[in-house]
Amino acid sequence: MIALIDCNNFYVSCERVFDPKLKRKPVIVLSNNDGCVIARSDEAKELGIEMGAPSFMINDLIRKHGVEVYSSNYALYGDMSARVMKVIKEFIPRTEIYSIDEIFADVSSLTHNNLTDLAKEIKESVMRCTGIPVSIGIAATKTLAKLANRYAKKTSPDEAVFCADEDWKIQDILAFTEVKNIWGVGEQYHKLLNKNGFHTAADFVGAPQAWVRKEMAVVGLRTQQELRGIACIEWHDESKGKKNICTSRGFGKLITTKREVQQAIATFTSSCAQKLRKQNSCAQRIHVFVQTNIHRKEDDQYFHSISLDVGVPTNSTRELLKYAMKALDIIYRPGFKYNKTGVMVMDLIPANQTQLGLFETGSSRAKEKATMVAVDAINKVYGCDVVRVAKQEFNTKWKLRQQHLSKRYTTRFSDLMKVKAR
Amino acid sequence: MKNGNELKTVAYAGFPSPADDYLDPELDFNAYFRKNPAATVAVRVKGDSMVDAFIPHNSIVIVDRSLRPPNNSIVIATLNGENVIKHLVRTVDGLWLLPANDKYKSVRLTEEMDFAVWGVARHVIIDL
Repeated sequence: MIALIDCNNFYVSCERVFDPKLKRKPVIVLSNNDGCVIARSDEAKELGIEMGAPSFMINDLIRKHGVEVYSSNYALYGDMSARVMKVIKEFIPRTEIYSIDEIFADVSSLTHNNLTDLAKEIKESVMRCTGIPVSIGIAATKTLAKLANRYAKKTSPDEAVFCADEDWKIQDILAFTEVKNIWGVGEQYHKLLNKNGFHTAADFVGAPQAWVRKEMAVVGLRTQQELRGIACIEWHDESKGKKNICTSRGFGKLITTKREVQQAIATFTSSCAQKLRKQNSCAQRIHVFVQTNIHRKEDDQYFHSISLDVGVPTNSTRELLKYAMKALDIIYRPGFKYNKTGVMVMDLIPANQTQLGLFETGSSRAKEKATMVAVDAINKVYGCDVVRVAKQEFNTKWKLRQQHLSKRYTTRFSDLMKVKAR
Repeated sequence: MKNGNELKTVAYAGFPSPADDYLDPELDFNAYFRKNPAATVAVRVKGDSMVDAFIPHNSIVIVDRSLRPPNNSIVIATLNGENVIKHLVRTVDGLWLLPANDKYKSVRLTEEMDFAVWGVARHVIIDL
């Protein structure tokens, strides 16, 4: 059996832990650059604020109902996420962190005879230790666990725990879930299924296998199997590290010079390289993209991306930067107002499995590696990017817009939560 | 470096150190102050109502959120939308939040109050 543990309205819940005034109030958290809504408290949902709504379009609602607005504070959310995961791992050793607020846990090897009680205990413990409310769904496969989680949240929000350990419970969940809410069914398949008379997950489970294979390919078939209780989605052990690493962000304002785009690319490349070194991987390819703001109809639009082979697999900031700049030279066009770029490093392999290039010597490799180790060590002590590549510069014009940022309560001595002694 | 012996693991050019086999790891203050790291939070005290409990203005209090508060313990609590630090005392006439300074009043908790224990104070850090 697999449990999916999911933090409820996670970013909002994090803000609420440290500010008791937010209790029972409508609260929303905005994406980077305060663009659109990415988390809502239940009260905000009731006001009709949609996920993904651009913040400028809901200004009236915000003012009228006194909605509390926050910029995303990833330093806080990341730390709180690590705390939640740590508490869960004390109960269940085999886990797979799926996202910042979701974790799969393999509960099949545990000796608990009552999984519902275990789930309740985990939920209570996470709440007590971190203040974050979670929902828990347990079922035979990942896809069913996702559905069970959603079912728990919707049908009994206070308990928010559901274990699909008997057939009638599984049937309940399948009949309850519309196909569009099945994990792995996108907009297109949702329409296709509806058109063919499949409206609930139960309908979909009954669809002829041959038809599913023909219309929805292997992915659709896999989802159907998972819903039938046959596990098809493999378990990703966390020790393996990520296969791709991406850093991308929108700019705080529109950027019109190549130099500023270069700064951003350099910063993102440096961040990707750091993450590579942290998980002991090297990248074989690098992908760079630039784009203009598609919401500004009055502007000329441009999007371009390119992937380059990096020759010898590497995790050196300097080497990756060489290729990132080359990629940018190819795709950059002057005369546009850019609002987003990103860098992705791909085809990762373990750092100890790299081979030397044709014209390299072992000592040049070792020297580059030693430099990066020193850079990481200095930055760890003196702060992020104190030592940086020159291309990053120190101008921060394109940096994030975060007008409603809360404190970094758990990671900075200067930002600790204040308690009144008066 | 991982064993916390970075100050002591030097290689002597002449004789090996007789202390080599007896090295203790350095004092680990993180482990001392954070028995349960996932549930430990540091907070900053504002005000002097807890001075008699050795918690002055601007000190840092280390809070363990996983503990259930024993009677007479010092807690961080949310009271009517505010974070406060007080003694939590259970008596025959109910639950009380008591200051540790005569200048301040005790608060008897009633049903109408929006009250919850946020965590239990475990340590105080005071810069001298």
